[in-house]
Amino acid sequence: MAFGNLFKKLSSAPTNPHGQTGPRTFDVADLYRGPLLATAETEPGALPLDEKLRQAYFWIVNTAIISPHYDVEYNEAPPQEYVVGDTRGKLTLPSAQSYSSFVLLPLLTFATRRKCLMVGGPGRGKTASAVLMGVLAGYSLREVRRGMQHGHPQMTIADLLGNPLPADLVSAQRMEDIRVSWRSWLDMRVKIIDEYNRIPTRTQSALLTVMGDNYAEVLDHVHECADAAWFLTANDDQGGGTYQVIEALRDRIDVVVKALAFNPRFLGDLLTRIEENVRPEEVVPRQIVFTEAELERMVVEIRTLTLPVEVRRRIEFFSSQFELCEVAGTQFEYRTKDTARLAGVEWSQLTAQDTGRDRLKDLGAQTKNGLSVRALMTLIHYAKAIAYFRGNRAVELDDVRQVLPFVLHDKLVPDLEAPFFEAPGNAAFRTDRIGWLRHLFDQSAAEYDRLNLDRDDPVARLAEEFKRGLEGLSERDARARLSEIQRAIAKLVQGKKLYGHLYDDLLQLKYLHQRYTNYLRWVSTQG
Amino acid sequence: MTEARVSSEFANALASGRERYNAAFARARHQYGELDPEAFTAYLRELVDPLVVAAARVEGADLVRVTDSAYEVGLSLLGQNLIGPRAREHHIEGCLALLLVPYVQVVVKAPSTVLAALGNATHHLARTPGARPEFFRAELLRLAPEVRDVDTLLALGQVTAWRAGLSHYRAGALARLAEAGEAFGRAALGLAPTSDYSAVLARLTQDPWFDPTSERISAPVWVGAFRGFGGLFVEPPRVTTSQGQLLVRSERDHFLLIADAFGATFHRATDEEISAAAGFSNGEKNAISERVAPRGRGTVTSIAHCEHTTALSFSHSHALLLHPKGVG
Repeated sequence: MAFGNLFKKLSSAPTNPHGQTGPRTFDVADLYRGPLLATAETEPGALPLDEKLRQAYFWIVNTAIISPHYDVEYNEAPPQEYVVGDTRGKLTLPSAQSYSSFVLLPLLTFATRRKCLMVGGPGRGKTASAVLMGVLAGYSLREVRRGMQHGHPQMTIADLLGNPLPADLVSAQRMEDIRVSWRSWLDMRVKIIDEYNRIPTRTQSALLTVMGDNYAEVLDHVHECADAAWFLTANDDQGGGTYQVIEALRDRIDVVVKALAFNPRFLGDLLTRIEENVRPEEVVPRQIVFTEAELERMVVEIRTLTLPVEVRRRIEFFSSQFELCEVAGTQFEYRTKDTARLAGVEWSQLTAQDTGRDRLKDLGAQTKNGLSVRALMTLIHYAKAIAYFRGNRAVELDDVRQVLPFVLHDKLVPDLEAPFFEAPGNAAFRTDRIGWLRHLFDQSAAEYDRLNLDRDDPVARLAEEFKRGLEGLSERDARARLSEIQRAIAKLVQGKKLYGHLYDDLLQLKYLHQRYTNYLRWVSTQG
Repeated sequence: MTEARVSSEFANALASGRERYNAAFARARHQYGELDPEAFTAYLRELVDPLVVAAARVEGADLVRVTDSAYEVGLSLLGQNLIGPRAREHHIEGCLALLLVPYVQVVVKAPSTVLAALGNATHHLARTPGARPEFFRAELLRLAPEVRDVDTLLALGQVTAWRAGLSHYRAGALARLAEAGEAFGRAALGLAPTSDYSAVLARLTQDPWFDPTSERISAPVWVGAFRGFGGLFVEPPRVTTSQGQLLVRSERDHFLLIADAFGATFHRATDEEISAAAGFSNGEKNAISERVAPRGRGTVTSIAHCEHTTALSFSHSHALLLHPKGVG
């Protein structure tokens, strides 16, 4: 049992209360609230898991990790803002409960069993934070520390995954006779790879198999691993370190979160730690430790949250901005940045040809690539997770806005030569990728509003009509719909420049046209 | 930490976590400033040792868990001067000393919950003027043989704290009685076996001035006192109503007054309650006020009526007179 209220006090539930109205009442349960804390015997499952997750967050942020940064900002009313310094930067005081990304994103990763990379200079609490996640999953500190993989330049595949038994190596006649002693971390529900960018490239490939496909392979023997939340740390954001991180491995990472600088105003807290010889990971309150069943249940509960159509449409609109590269292909479908990338063409050569559009207005001009399906899936997972964490049953647009920069941090590559970054006031976006991505999403949302797509979206209407099914649709009606699609295309392309969202709309209409065409052909053969 | 002169059971439990206990004491001393080791040792020896000895006789009891919880609660109590030589009153020590061993079967199931609940409830009673912490612990002691689980103890404590003077918990306590059934209700209220429980419960719900253990009709009661004598009022208070409840003003302070047969409690009024208040009049002379105004208290300065109570204030008194409605 851990002692000392100083380090074990949990925030009282509800941690994210809604306002109450009505006459004052006295709750008899208050009789047992007072100077003494009774926190040790909360029954497992007594609290909703989202509440437990919030309690874990507040315990970590208030007690374990001295993290005064509240960079995930929510507002219920217009926030108070102050303009500071010559660069006229803004200090915002959020009007609603806001969060520290360095704690929140790892916790959401823990709750969704995904993969989080923590980057930042040495000694900023990256590894400590990862260890806490292991303790929250119910492992002892010793187990977590033993299970943690420390990247180093001599790390072999056997170091990472396990060794064949020496006796079998000598006596075995067939590969299948060689038994492998698998490393215990492979079966842990929280997997920690410390300084992953110091792992040699070949070992990184083995790690990729575990991260991507959830199995390990040594000498033709396969070990299926447990589903887990992954926490990787790196001192270098750019994947540098001793070895270049292979792109596929970087692509498997779902979110990137930065350990921000320590505020010396909190030195007193550090002093207390030293004097009291307390390590937060050793005094994690029992009530915020999740059982395996709770973790399973939490993943399911998060998945069942609703993503409203209005929010989904804005994600679609945002993600459609980036893939188009008009000069990359002649056939419509191949006019993408991916086509250009696979062809190995110089990026500057391509952008030089791209004339006609307003490259300052075109959001796609700010990036060198588009969004992958994996990135979009991850974005939805984390948007649901943060909504769940906030105690909501449906995702809000603000949830997407808050998690998007961390999800796309390594996914959307900025074109730092783009006119946007040259514009006055935008230079800081070259270095602040989180700020840039949030700004990008805000610009996309503003454009969505300007186009009035919430109320007038003919492509969505046609897609919705198609979704209702073709069964019983007459030949006459199918032809009418085809004509409607053609009219919609003609209207969309009339005198307009081709932007990313328009490109995707046209491809969608082409898809619908093709489906109706095929249906029409089938109907006509039915006599 | 001294471990001499304690039982072997307790000594073993302490020895099993000597480093943790010592570190916890050091941390508490840092957190609370001064922490008297002698007073803490006395707490361990006089309160925790008998508890651990009793717990050792309960099958399956986790003595380390009991010791951990009692140790932590003790540090918290002593650190906040709620026990020990610097405590303003000793009701919490009295309650724990009296109840922990009789309730050992319940304590071992959730030691931290039970210890904190008893401590916090006693703290509330001790800090509420007019409440009776002695009655609370005596009633719980009386019922100890009948309580076998934590939930029952907590519900019983809530009903008993209401009866001990925390009148603002009346609604919640009645809800506990309604939920828990007749056997619990009879025991918690101390009813005679011949009484009609349903009728008692119905009357308790309807009439806040009904005391089922007393045959007497509720008489007028004096509540409140001068701040210098441990009360809340700097100057003689006046009374009015707000949203159907009694509101009291003394100088610039406003309080909501909740009263029933078991006690009266004052609570800082909210801005909404103050703004919704009727005026504090100079006194409405009527039959009641003329008759009940006692000698030496001066003239009636204000009168207020709520559903079950009439309250009067006087020019020469820091106390208010509460009349159950329908009386006199």
